[in-house]
Amino acid sequence: MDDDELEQFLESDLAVSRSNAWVFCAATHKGTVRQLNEDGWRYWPKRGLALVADGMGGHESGDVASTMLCESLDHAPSFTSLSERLNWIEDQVTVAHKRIRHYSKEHHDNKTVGSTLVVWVDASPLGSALWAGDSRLYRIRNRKLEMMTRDHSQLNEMIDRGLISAEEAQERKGGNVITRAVGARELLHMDTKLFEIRADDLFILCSDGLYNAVSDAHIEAICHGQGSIEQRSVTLMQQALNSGARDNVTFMLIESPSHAVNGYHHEEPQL
Amino acid sequence: MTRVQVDDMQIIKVDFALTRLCRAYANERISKALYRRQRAELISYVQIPQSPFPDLVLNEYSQAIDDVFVPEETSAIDDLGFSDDWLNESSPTRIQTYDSRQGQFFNDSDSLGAEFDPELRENSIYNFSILSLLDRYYWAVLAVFLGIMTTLFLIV
Repeated sequence: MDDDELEQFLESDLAVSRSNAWVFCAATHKGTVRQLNEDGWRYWPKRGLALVADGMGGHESGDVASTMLCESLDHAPSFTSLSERLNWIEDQVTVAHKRIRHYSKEHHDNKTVGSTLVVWVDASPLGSALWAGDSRLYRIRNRKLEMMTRDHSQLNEMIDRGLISAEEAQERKGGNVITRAVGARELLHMDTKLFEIRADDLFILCSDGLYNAVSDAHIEAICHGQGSIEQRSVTLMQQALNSGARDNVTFMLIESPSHAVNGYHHEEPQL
Repeated sequence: MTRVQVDDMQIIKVDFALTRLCRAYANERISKALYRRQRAELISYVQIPQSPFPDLVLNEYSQAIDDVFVPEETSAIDDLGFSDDWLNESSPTRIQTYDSRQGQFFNDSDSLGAEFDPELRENSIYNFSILSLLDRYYWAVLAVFLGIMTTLFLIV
């Protein structure tokens, strides 16, 4: 990014919000090839809720799908349990799913219009993820990056059915063929993940544009490095763009306020 | 009442069960209502002290029509190299029809479903009965038939 692009990025494509428990920093960019940014994101810090959506369907349709998804969780009632929250999120996403399919039928002659989705839910000390497609949730704990979601992709289906091994899957092309997305098929099933949340955890929600452009090692090093959460987000986006970023890139960092100001100071191992 | 700390082993156990539950739901082996109820039970198991681990049902329809079910060859736990009694999934599997198939890949149970067709079986039994009767009374039928033909010939 040159200076002008960086200024524009900081003004319109980078956002930070804080609650008592978490700081959220979201960044999005259309990438170096695409003319449109069809990704979407949303966070609700006080509700401990965040999502990233990656729209698909070509000219403006993907953007419509991801926007519908983002808006679907805007107005939430109060909940008494995590289960109730998850049920409500699924119901709202299902409503958006039907709207997307109706939109596709009305405007695009039933052409596939949809969006992948990953939702992060904080119910400390428990957390949960709901997702469909290949948008991901990562967690960095003890300086180690863990993928918390599992892509709904052809390759993973083949691994599950024992047709290929995980090693063979890495060598194959076509890993980006997804088998689930909101709006894509008549029925929608989202997967649920349950995990523990600790105060020192750092969470990353992202579209495939990030992890296809930046290696896990770089994501881990940049996100868990020094500097404010904004600085690290800019560095991560620059790394993605420098690597080509053929797809839209969207990610969100979520971490405790104590780390959001200066980042993480790692002690050098003593020899 | 929510615990301050979460037990790592409980999380691993619940995560594994939840993965199986999500797969059963995605493959339409359980209804949305049952999926949600069991997910809530798993969450309660982690959150509420002394909660027992729930007995999960991953093949809801197996209780409804016994005749159209076949047992799974191996349990889900064994499939993944685990073997424990906390998640019993050895109940029968519903035979899926082609209409209920999800995703782009064939479900293992489809091949079983393709072999079984109650209507075909009923037709086969019916056809078998007719053929048996014809076989047994072949000469009698032939004699009657020839008699009728001869009578008609003589009249004409």
